[in-house]
Amino acid sequence: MNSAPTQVAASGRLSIYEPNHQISMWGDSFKADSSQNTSASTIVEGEVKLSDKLEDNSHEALRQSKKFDQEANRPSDKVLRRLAQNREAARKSRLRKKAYVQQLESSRIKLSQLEQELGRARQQGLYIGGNLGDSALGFSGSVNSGVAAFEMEYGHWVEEQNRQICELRTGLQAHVSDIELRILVESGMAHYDNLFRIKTIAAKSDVFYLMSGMWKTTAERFFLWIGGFRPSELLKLEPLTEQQVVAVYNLQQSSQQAEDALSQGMDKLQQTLAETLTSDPLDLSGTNNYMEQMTVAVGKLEALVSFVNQADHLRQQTLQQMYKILTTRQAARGLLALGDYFQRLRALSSLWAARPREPA
Amino acid sequence: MAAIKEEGLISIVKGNMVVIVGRRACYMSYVAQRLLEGLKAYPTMYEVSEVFVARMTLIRNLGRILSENDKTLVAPMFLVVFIGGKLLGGLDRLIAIHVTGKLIPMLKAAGAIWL
Repeated sequence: MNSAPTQVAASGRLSIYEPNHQISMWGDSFKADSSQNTSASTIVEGEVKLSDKLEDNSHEALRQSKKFDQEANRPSDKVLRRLAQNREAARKSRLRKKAYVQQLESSRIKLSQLEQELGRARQQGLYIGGNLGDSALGFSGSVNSGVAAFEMEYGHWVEEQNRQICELRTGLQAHVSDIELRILVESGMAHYDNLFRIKTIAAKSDVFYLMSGMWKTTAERFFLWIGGFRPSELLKLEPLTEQQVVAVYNLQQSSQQAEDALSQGMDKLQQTLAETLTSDPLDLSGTNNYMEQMTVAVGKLEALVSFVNQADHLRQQTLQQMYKILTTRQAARGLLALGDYFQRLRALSSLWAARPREPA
Repeated sequence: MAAIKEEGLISIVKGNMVVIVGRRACYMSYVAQRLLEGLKAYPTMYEVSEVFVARMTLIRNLGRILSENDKTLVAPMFLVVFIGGKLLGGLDRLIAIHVTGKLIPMLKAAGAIWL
């Protein structure tokens, strides 16, 4: 038993496992053997005592050396004490410097994080201002340029849309020929295609901007569904012959089903995104977990681009199918009704914004 | 290992009436699934590994470079829908076919729905 402690010292950490292994083996066969238990504790204690002894030895050596110095040069006792105090002060100063540097490092990281967040927040806040004014330039270059470009193009689109609606109305009222109506209808359909095209480009640049509907007027935003109008809104606007009723009903069904599937997908995205960002506040694994969660969340948000694209695609398909079912004249009337509807929504937004407010 | 996976994929596609092949946790696959389930066609969901996706993307990118065909606005490769063992296309194709009223006859022909 006396040799055991030296063995422990010699073989370092591995030694811990050997005795334990032997002990567990013994324990299985001789459970009631209490003498074996005491031997285990003896070994453990022996280890502890040895390490204590090692520490004590080193302190002892230090004390002895100090003592030796004092005994040899007794007059410079105060000098020695001052030297020791200097050493102590130097050591503390180094520790303080180290702590300060560490604090600086973490503050630096925090600062860059805050800067990033601020940049993002500025972009968000900019959209609210960007809808009203033309000051979409300025803060952070590339993303805002996509947004600014889209706003400009959409403004043009609305102007052109209004012009086409006027033409449709006058054309229908004047009972122009079907051929002329057909031209008007086809340019109307192409105009919607244009809208979806610029939306796709904007979605690649900033999908959240598109999804926020900030580029639309307030009343339109009320009806917002995945970055635009609901496809089913296209189909409530038309008087029909009997044969067409079935076709339109089927189109309504299909469009609604696709709409529902997309809505369910969006719900799932919201749900899993919320789950990804929810973390146990008492989770002690700290920053690594945070970055992982954030990376996963960023990946999920990229799915939003697909959602907007698919929603726009559905809008386009529904429009085109409507056009196939209807006659030219009906299509003209349909496009006029649709254009009118959105025009009125926009007018409603302006009226609402201009309404007299009651004093609080 | 890719060969084995593809073997499994082919047999599943041939052996089931409606198959959706997609990546794990892909929201578009979920949308396609919900759409088909809403029609009472219950699709088989097949999940491809990210390794498989990476390999397919590499092959496609190489092909694009070699053929100097720079259609950068190409639809994402997955998901892919098979009906009756035949390739239909991606989610946009599925929606387009449904809106034009061709999806339900197709499903009936494949035996995925009746009545």
